[in-house]
Amino acid sequence: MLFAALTVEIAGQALRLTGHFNAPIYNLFTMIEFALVLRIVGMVRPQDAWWLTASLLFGAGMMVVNFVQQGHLEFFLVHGIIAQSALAIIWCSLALWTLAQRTSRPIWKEPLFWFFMGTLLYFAGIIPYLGFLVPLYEHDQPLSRLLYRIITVVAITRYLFTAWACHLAQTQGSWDDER
Amino acid sequence: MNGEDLMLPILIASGLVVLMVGFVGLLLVVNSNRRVSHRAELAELHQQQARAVIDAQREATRQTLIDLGRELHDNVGQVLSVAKLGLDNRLNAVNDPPLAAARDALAEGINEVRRLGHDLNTDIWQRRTLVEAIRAEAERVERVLRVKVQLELGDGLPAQPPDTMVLLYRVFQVILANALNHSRSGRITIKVWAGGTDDVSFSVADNGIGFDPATTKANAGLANIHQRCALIGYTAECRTAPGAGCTWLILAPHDQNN
Repeated sequence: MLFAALTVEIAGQALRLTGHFNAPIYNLFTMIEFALVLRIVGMVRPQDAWWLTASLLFGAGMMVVNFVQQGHLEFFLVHGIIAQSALAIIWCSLALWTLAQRTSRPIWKEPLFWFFMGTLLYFAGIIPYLGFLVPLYEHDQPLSRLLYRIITVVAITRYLFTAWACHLAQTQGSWDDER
Repeated sequence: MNGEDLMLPILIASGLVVLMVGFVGLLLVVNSNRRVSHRAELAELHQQQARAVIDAQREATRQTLIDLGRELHDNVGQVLSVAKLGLDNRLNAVNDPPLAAARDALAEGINEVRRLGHDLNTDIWQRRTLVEAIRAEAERVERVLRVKVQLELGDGLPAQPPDTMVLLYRVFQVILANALNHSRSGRITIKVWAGGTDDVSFSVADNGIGFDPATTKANAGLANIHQRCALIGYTAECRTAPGAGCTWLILAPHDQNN
């Protein structure tokens, strides 16, 4: 996921610098990362495989509907992303709850705790911003760009958490190793 | 979009932050409870393992004693009986007092071997109680070793599980053997009483030379007494002093607090 995010960021910057819209690849990446998050939630809650699949389809459906309504990919598919974010928040919260009940050691020593916390923070952070992105962008583009830094901050925090989770997993063993 | 319009997303964001902090706190509490219950489960698991090991040890010991007892009774006892039969035949033909004395000693030896084989057979605990075994041993000591043994039995003595009785009887035998071998006592007092509804406690006291527990080197026999008692939840307490005799108290769990 870290590599995918890095690739998308590099590609996004390259597109921006060459005068192209970079929103399409962010929209695409949102779909991919949503699927990845649900896949990792499935490792903690395998009993919810059916609901996770349904959530994935629902999230993808919302993106498609949003695309049809919007008619182009030159702007974020805001409503689709918000719907996926809301689902991701719910699933991350459930995964954290399961993790807290299941793990017999301090939860902060679990790699997945940091992964889900980062993901939760990220999606909870972008919802308020994205919810008002369209009207804000239409009325005050400089303010919109300024507030976009919120997403940058939560994204950096999220990837720091994810990196820490990777470090813990590397030093302690596999992701779902019960100790 | 003016400043007032921005209030809503800010409020939503603040609310989410508060919710997240609360959620993380809740996670920590849940995880803490889980760790506490996990520790309790581990402790219980260790106890179960310890009990399983003890049960296996007891079963192994029981089987060994049964085999040993059977061997003594069926094999050694039979060989000695054949030897005695030969001596009987010889003594029917000749009058030989030394040979007759040897035959009598052999007969006593046969009886002792059979008694030992009988005692070692733990299956016998299905048919007799600890009190009966103690009484039989007291009578044997008095008869064979010429030591005065006073037996005081309490009322309503319950019958215990065979495994418990075997261990208590072995403890009793070790204490009695120590008293007979080391105390130079002429009198031994054994008291047995009900230790709760399901157990019995007992004491063995001699009026011998006693010893200083602080300076007496711990030996395997004394350690075994404590260890065997601990296996069944009993405690062993030795009250002694130089010149003051020695009293062993073997207390059931119920009596340990009284």
